[in-house]
Amino acid sequence: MIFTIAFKELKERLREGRFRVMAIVMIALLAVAVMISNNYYQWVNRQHTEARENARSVWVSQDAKNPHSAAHYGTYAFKPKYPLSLIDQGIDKYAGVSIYLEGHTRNEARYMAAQDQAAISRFGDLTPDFVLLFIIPLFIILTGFDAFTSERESGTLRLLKSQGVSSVTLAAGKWLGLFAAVLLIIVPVFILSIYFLSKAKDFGEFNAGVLALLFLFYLAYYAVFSNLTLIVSAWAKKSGISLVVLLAVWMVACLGMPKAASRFAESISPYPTQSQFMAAVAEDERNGLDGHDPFSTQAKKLEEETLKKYGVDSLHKLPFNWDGYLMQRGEEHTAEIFDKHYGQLKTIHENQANVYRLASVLSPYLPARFLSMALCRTDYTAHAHFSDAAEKYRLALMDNLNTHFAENSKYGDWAYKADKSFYAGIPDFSYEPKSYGDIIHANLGGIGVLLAWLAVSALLVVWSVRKMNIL
Amino acid sequence: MADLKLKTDVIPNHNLNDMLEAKQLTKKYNDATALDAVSFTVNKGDIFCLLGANGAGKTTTINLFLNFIQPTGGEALINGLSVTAHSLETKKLLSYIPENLILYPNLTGLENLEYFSGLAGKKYSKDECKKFLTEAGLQEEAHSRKASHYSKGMRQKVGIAIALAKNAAVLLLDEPTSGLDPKASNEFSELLTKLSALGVATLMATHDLFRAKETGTHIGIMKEGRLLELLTTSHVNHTDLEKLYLKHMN
Amino acid sequence: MFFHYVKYEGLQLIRNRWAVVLLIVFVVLCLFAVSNGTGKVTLRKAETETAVNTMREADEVHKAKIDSLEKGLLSLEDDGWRRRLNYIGNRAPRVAVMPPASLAFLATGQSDLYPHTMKAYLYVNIETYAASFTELSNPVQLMFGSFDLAFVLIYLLPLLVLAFSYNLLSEEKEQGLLRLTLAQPVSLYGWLFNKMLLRFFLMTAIVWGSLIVALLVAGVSWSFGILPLLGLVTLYIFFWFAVALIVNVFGKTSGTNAVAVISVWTVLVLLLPAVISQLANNLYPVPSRVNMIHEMRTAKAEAEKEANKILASYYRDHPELAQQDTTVKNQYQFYLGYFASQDVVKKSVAPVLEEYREKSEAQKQFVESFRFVSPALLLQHALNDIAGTSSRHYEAYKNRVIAFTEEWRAWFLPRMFNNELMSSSDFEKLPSFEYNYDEVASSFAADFVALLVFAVLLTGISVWVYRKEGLEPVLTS
Repeated sequence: MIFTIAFKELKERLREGRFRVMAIVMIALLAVAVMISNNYYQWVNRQHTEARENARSVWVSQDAKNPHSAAHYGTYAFKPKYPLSLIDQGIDKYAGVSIYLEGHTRNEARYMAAQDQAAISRFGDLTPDFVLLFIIPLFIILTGFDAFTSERESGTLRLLKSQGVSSVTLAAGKWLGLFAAVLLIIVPVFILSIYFLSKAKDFGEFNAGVLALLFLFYLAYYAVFSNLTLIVSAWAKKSGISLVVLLAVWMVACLGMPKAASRFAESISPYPTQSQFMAAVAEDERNGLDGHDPFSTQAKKLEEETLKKYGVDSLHKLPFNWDGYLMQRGEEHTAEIFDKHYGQLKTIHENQANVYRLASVLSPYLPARFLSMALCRTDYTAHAHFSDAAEKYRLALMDNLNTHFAENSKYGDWAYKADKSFYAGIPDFSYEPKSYGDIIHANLGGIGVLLAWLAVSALLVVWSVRKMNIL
Repeated sequence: MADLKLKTDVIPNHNLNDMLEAKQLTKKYNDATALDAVSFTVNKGDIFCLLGANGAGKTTTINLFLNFIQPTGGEALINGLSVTAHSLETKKLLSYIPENLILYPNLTGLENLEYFSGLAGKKYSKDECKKFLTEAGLQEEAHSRKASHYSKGMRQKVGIAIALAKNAAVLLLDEPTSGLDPKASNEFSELLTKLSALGVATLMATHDLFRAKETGTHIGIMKEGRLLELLTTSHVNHTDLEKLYLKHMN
Repeated sequence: MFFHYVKYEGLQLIRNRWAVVLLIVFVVLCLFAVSNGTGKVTLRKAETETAVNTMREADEVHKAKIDSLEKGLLSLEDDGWRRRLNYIGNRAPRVAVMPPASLAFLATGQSDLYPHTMKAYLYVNIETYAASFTELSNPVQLMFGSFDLAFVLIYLLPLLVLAFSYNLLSEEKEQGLLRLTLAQPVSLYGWLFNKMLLRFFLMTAIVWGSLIVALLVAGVSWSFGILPLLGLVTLYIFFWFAVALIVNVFGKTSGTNAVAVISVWTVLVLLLPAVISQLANNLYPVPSRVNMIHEMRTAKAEAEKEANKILASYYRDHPELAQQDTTVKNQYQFYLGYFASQDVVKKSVAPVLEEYREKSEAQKQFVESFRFVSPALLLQHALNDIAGTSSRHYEAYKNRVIAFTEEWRAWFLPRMFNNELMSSSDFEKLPSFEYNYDEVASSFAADFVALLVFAVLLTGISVWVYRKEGLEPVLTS
């Protein structure tokens, strides 16, 4: 029975000009989006590989120089792009792509793509996630808003009921018919993605299981919208009202809530501005140990302690170069300061993320949005993970340089130069992204909310069609 | 209706009594003929009833007089003016009551009347409007109730009031009594007779032989777009009319 | 006749619960958006004020200290204060502030991507300084965008307009009212146009009212600056009514009309911008910053090899900087060497930066010229322009700041080369930063005219469709 209804629904749709046009537009948009994203991904990846090699070769080919000059010369870490960004670009264009690794300072990732784009791009780009998260729900609404209202308006609902069809069977049939239409559109797109992904071997492993999970999340998201559509259509007196209400639901869920949640997140736990952040770091640094300022009180204290520890009366008599040692201690100290401030940023981000989680209860778009970019490794967590790894590497690099300086030169010997082989011997930065297991574990809450949406909306469908006015 | 006379004077070769005239009126949709060379005239004070089954061309005839559709051949004249050439002028002369007259549900009967007569270019005070409504048979207490609460009969009465307010010389009615209970139907017929006495020419499409005989002055029987029979009501009795009608329908 | 419609249509609108609720919701959303916008502006003002005050306080402390040193009340306990030019130039950086424009609350625009307070130091690492023109913010917020008035106007206002107008004709036709109306001596188009016009005036009045209340709330003093804003919004409303007019004139059912207007909205507000942005990025790609870094590094590596031998040749290039009194050793010797080497590095790196900056700017200009495709894009562009939050405003600010760091250096360098001290009175002579919004040419007129053309064109098309199709399909289908 259910399948008879579902089949009739689908058949009806496929004969409808409006649906056919929309479906073709959807498929075309998604296909173009996937292909463009694939090109973009290849382009970025080529550059990334090139840039990594270049950065390394510039570092390795340094002439003999003082290790501290090398620290100031610095190097770069480049954020990789992951294959699944083909589906979801997430926050990628709003996060920097490279981190400058130098002595004394932890730098933010720089060069976000958004700054190089015109303001038009703030409307969003035609990427698969844009279509999958925004447009397809709209498509579901436009396809299904009159699921019950049109049958009521034409009187066929009475006819159906007189045939002894139960409301729930009818709803299940309608739901399947609507969902089949969605599948018709997104299955080809995921197949196209699999094709591109299987060819993209440049970076990271392509995990078919993860793509399947992503596909399931999207199906759950669409199921929620299908449910909402049927609920409203069951309650609405007229098709027009059903459409207007659903459109309002879509606006609130996909556009309004995310923006409003951002505003509340920002007022509950505001981000410092760049200059405030730098001022706070500078303030802490001023009160702490300055590796370059031997006159500061902290440095004086360290000097006394060190002399005492080694039982000597002059810095010249220490078994290592005091300058190198002092700089390393200074580096460790600033690292702590940066750690503290970046930690605070993370806390702020976590507080804000909690607001979004809370808002997820009001908008199914939010859990879907966050899950999608988490799995595609294009969310803030993935970015922060990279940034932390780069910082860890920077600290190891600085330790390497300062220790070498301290152990291989005498106090006051700023003319000391480490030779090329030393720089070449320092290991390159290699980065291992967070494992999928960890990602899924961290997003269990979001998965729970999405499933809750699914369950509650399904129950509401059953309840609504039972209560539905037949006339 | 003095101003009306002035206008009619200037039209040559026009019988001042011919308010409505169909001249070989034809309407075709692709291959199907909805109306086939129909001709008749309706004089002042006449009530001309078009009888016929569904799809006989009654509504098409009325649509042509309203200039809602364009004739494929022939001409529809109101007061000697072609409705296609003088769409707005002829509409000033006529009033129309569709089968199911709908009013703006959020406006009261009085406001609906004011609105529509305003569209017709007439301006009346509230009291004058109330007078029209009362004349049309709508009870006082209903005047300022929202039209969404009105029955079909009440809405038809507002339709008549609109005609009165417009001072219409021609009344086009599309099955106005279908779905009315016998009392309301009777009241409506009485209103029509009253208007007829004032000199209004009425064209009415109907299924109701009994009403047509009672109210109408002339009867036309239509089938498949053709006008088969033209009768003067006073010359036939009810039984003969029914026999004649059934003969044509079979 | 128009006022006749005003009276009876107005009565119906007021008695329509949905319409009233919708209008109230819209006004509330406007006010919410304005409170968000003004909140951001207030924070921005507070932040820049704090930065300026901190700078002033530091100046006072430094001035007092120099004053005491000059009067002999304090003795020089460390070298830092002997080389005080170097100290002040670097430790008392000038704050370069971009204050919000008076209508900044209208549109967040690009303001969440860029900082509004920068500092001009004596030693600027050009490699990182240009890149540091980035505001610290939650990228998730950037992705979602702000709930500002621009959002309400660009996205929501059209939907409100369409909700009030998509079924003007079809509804009356479906109810059966249209036949009665058209039996009156009125033309269908005139009737429809009057109904639209009434709603247009109503909507415009509501939006103007909301905007004026918003301006009062935001504490913006009344000026002619607001007229372009009102004009733009009016045209935008006009445009969307024209869309509704065309859809109505085709005489389809309410359901079809609804799907049609939603599709038009989706295409103009969501899809076209996304497609254009994506296509532009592909056809005219932004130069790769990653490549730029590499080029910059290569140039820097070359320059650094020279850097140590630099100072001598630097004097050769800048004889005016050579110290007058050669009998004393210049106490800034180390820093001057550093300056000189930095200069060499800068000279080699700057062209790379400049080249990429130009490419990026050219790309932005190119993409922005596509705004003429959709009224939504035109309005966004114009609103950012009015709010002073467009890319061009920030580009100007960035260039201005970089120029100012040069100015700052140019003030200190000759004095350092001349081995001067800094006196407390010198503080008055320090260069100060000023950002001038007038320096960015407004492209408002083009946006305005384009919107007008869109609206008038659509209205013209609706007349044409009406003439061509006539009444018949409307009344008989």
